[in-house]
Amino acid sequence: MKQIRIFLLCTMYYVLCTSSIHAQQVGLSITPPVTQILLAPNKKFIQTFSILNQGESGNFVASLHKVMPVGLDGHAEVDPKPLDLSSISIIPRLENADIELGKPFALEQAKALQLVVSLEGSSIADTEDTYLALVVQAESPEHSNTTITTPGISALLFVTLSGDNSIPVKLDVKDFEFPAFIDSGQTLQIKPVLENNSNIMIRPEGSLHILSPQGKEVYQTTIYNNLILGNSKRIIQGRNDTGSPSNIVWDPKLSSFGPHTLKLIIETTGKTKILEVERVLWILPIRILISLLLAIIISLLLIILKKRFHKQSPDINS
Amino acid sequence: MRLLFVTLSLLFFLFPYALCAQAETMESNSFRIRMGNFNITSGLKSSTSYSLTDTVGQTAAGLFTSSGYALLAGFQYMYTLYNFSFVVSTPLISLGTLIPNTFASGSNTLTVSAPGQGYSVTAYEINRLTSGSNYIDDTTCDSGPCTESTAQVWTNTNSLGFGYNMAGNDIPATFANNTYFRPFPDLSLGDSPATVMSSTSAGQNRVATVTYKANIGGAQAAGNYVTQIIYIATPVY
Repeated sequence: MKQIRIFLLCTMYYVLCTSSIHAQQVGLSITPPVTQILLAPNKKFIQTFSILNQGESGNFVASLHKVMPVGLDGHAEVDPKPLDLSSISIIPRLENADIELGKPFALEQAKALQLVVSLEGSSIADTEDTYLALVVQAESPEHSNTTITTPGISALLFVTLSGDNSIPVKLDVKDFEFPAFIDSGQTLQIKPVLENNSNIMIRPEGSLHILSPQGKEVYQTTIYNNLILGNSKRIIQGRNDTGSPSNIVWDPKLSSFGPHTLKLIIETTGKTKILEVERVLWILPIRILISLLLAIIISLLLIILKKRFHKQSPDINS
Repeated sequence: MRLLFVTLSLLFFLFPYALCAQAETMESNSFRIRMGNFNITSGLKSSTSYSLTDTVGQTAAGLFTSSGYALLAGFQYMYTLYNFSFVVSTPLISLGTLIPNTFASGSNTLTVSAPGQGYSVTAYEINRLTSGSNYIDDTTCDSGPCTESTAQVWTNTNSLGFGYNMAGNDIPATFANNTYFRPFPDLSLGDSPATVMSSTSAGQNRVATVTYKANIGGAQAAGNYVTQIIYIATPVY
């Protein structure tokens, strides 16, 4: 009995005191992920980023890098090279008293930290954009005996520095062409591309309307106000029922017939119309027509066969 | 005269006790709370069938629009259900002792959670697998050849080099199956980073497995060959 008690006590001790084994992992979260700023010369803007260590305790490094838009879906590529401060018109600083850009800082597991970034506009006469990413990554070891993978997470900082209080707007609509006609039973994917030909980013809004040959509106969607960086393009998306962006898809009625007008209106946030584009698309109930034609052909064949059968039957009787 | 004296006396005694108007500014010598707010209740409430975030009692919250602007005021407009996060499991990759014309591999996983409209993860290596002045070239696969953007089949043990394969969520379509590999872009040679995960939708815990593979020939000098692979997760804007 005494031995059993000792055994149980020892078992409880090992269960309670043994440290649990964690698979090693390195990770971070950051918020907010995207910040868009309109800045005046000689003015300063401050943005606080909250980072949370979602892996093991360790050292991390914060740095600023240039960012370039890629593709048509709002993706951005971070330049691996360190930021050349002489190439931009804003002066970025990390305002934390105990953390410097490019120097490691410690962050324990499951702990959060605020990085305070300030951006000061230089004196410029015109308007220009700067696209940056605050990258926080695990510290790279100076010497390692094994291959190491280093994760980093970035938050995007997009700045328009306007010296003359003007934001140039040069938008163009591409890929808004359609075939001569489509079948009324066919789903129409509408993916126009908005091309920003100025070097200043813009967040346009608008709407897409589809009108029947009689002028009645048969489809309407609001354009989602995606950000389009300077000298880049982005696919125009609509809004779904929850207000989130979604691809524009239209299912015409099977009985639709005739020239339908697609009207795309692009506006500023303040509802000033920037451009309006119209296209005409013929909708033909091709499936219904083919079905009708087949039905007629089959009916005619049946009638012909029936007549032949009746002709042969009197011959037999006689 | 007596009435005037009484009135002035009352004003003299009451004035110091007049209530001062105080603004909500929470600060000290070492901190200042920006956008401070006293609420009735706020935060995350949940049950088995719902999850709710709220801020009750915030002043002037809501959507305000006029000609030329739209203002979204309030905590709930900047609150995201989950943060943008990126985690790498097992950052140290050991390929073990390399035997000529025998594949050696190791793997880890990349996990991304992205609210908003998606994300991308790019990757590059600092340099080739290096030991002193010796190095193992990046793979060109069996035939093709494979490049930093296009994966090809790499199963022939006579094909040497170092490369990676991906499997799981949001990976490039070029990784048709687990025999398709491609080399990492080499920062020391000026290569641009390659996209290894990407999505245009919000999503939580999107996981991809990276398999690293190396193969050497008999003439490879002995040594401890290492490199550093850097992954950067970037949100869609």
